[in-house]
Amino acid sequence: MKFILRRAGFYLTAAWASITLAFFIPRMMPGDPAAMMFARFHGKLSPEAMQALRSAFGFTNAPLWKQYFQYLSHIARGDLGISIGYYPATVGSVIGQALLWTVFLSGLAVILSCTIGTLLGIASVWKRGGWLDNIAPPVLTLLGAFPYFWLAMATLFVFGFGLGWFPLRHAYDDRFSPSLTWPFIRSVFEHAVLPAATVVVVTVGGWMLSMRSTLINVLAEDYILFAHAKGLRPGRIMFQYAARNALLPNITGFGMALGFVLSGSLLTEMVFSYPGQGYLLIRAVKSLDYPLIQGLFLTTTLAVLGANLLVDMVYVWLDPRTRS
Amino acid sequence: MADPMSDLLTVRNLRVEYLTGKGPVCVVDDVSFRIGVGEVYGLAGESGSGKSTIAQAILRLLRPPAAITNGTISFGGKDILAMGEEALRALRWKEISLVTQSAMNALNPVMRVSEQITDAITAHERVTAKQALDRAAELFDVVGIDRDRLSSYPHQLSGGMRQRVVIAIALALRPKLMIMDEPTTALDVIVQKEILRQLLGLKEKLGFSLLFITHDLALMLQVCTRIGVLYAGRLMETAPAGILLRTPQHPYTQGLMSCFLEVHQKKVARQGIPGAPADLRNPPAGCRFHPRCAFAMDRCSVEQPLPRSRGEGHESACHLGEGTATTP
Amino acid sequence: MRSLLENRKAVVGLSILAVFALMAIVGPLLVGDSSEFVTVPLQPPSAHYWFGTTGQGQDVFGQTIAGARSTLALGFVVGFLVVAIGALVGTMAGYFGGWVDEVLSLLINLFLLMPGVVIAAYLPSGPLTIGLVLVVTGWAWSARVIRAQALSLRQRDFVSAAQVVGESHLRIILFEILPNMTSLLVSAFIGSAIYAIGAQVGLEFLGLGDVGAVTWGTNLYWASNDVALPSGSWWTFVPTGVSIALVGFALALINNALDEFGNPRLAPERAFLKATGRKRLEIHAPTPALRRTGAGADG
Repeated sequence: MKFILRRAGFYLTAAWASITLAFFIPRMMPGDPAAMMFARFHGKLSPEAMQALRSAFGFTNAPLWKQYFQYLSHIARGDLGISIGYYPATVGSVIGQALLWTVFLSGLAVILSCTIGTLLGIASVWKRGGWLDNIAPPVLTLLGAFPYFWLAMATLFVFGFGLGWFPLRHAYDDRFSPSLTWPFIRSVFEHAVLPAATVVVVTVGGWMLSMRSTLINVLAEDYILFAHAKGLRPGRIMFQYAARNALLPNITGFGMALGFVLSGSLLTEMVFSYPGQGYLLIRAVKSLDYPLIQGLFLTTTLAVLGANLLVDMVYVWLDPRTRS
Repeated sequence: MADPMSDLLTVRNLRVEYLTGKGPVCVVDDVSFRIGVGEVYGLAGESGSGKSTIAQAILRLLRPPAAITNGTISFGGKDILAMGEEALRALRWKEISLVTQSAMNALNPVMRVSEQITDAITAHERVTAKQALDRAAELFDVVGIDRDRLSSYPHQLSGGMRQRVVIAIALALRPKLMIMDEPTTALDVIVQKEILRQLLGLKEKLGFSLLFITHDLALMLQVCTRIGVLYAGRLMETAPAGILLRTPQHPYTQGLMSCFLEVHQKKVARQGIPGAPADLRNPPAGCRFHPRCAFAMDRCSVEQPLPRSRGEGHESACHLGEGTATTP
Repeated sequence: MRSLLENRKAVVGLSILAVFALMAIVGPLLVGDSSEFVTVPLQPPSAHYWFGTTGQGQDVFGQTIAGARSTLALGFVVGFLVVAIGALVGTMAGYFGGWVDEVLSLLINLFLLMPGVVIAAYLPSGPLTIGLVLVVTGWAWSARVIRAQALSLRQRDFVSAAQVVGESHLRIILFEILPNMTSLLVSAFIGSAIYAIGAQVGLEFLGLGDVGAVTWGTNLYWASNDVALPSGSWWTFVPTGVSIALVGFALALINNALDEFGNPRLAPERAFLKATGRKRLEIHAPTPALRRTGAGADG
């Protein structure tokens, strides 16, 4: 319990730090970010309208600390400002949709990768020196050495353009509108296969190797010897005794992996034009949509923090030693 | 003469090697001993002498690159070395149980203690979960732990309690032979005494045999009926406990005795055994103990002594007192 | 060092690395200016141009070779900086403990969560930005690992001995703690280099690097911009991608070999398998009994 409180404290501090950073970065930019932001409105608006727009976006002439508190109060209300590129949509609404897609894709990919990698790790240790133990690690390491986006391009090329097995872009077929009908859901999954597969292929090797090495160390422990001496079945020893203990150090890696994928999926989304946060960010950067960039920075960081907090709670549930 | 009918465990010419990339390393060489029904046999030696290896070899628990390269191990008429995996698994715990060194680490940290007892029971007997749990509770009574500790995790128990839990698990199936490897080394003296007392009491009541392994010769002399002294993987001397105490024949045993006893019949100055334990990757030629032996002769660095009888049930592997005869 | 060379993985890894190092050092001299226009764009590989031409009529082979220098140089420099900063912060946190550790750990954890792409977006493009972003987002990971090691080393006897003698903290860190972490530091360096190369390429792919320069990342950026995929011109992005993967793979192999070195359990038991005539080590198999004799002569 103390453990969780401590972690929660850290997460709150980190959240505050990201919020503050998000506030300061655009204002530390060389030149006048506000002017750049409004360049696209040049000639279309009167100076009074421009001034009104400036204050709407939070770029007033008030002292910095006052702007900061105004910004904080906006955040507290969930008001992330108005997007320039998607004007007059609010940043919040634009991000909301994209966030869902990213969480779906990244979540799916990480869970699949972790599960497959862990099982492969266990299988390779079960029969050490077998073909799985010899072939899989080098092959998966090689695959994992390719940059995400390169593999994305390659799979798109082969399976999309080449063989035509899977769709080329977007999260679902444009013919459908989002609804809980089977054709729509099917379309969603069809469109998720290639991007998720890319992430899985790149990351599964890491999970396998990590599980394998932890498991080998755990198997050398005394309690495993004792379990064998008790005459227990190999399956029980491997899963209930060995794997359960080996999983623990790998769980913390899960949180980090989630964070990594959430920020790295950016490139995959770009290649597949998948409407997630990454894709949104790229468009925002290209159109210098600062409120949107700021909002994305915030939500990504908060999402990563949330994921880590969740993982910590799972860890406490799994390792009884942390509960006392 | 030992009666083969009452022998429970017979180990003959046991040889265990580690087949490493740099060549095989022999850690147990030509070890033979027997344990009778209801006996307490002690295996004494320094760390690295091969005691734990023998304990694990009996149940074939040694991990690669270890292999048993010679000898026989028979238990109740069954040849352990010829058994398949299934037969071995049935034998383990039900007939022979093993309490390893530092029981602190013998328990799975993420599993409740009760489950670690019941899974040993249900692996060998057809009982319901409730019955297994009841047995576990009874066992806790036997070793003197409060029943409500059954649902604890190992880290919530003290070292002494964990040791008792492990002993309880070892007794769960009423095995005929219990192997205990340094069962009390990590505990303080008072707890040690208490646990041993309980254990011997249980042995009297339940009638199992005990293979007691430790480096603490003093302890062993109080507890065992017969003792074997191991050095660098070979048995140097075997004798009934009383005889070993009074008339040890092997220089190594004598050295061990003088380490702790103040008085035999006359006052003897305390002395340790000079030198360091033998390196098993490159053991000394001839008798493995000769570099540290005060009585070493030329012959000792050339020819390895075989065990010779020195009396009733007393054997010693030493060239001393052999004269020029080379017959065993 | 010698036994490292006996390890198959290490040998393969080092050889691959050597090839690319050579490529990085002498390549640009041999290929000349690879961004020069040579012939018709988007030509598939041929005898004349082994890897074909790009969407702007440049020689893909030449670009692949030339790109090695920038990418590898920046990758290793960043890798070194990341480990240097990580070692500095990590050792201080682990060694001093107390409030120093609390503050530094908080700092480390904060930096672990920083999304680099966003920061890179705000700054002017170019290798310096990329380098800066990579270092800022990368040092925390190695700091965490090094801190853990420093923490456990601090408890060891030789450190207490040095403290008792009165050695200054700085001397203890430099001469007692760091030398005992060599393998960890090397491993962290390799890991950071892998990360640096990969992340660098990623950022350049987004156009945040110097798009006029020839690096592996910019090669891919242009390949994508010049519509490699729809036009089916796979040769414009495959060689560079494969090169990046091979370097990453080589580094990972070396890292694995180092791991096996430190933890011999991880290495396969070849001698044992051979002696027992088995193909695989089954974890649950009982100790094998070989070359048994019959029952003894005595009763």
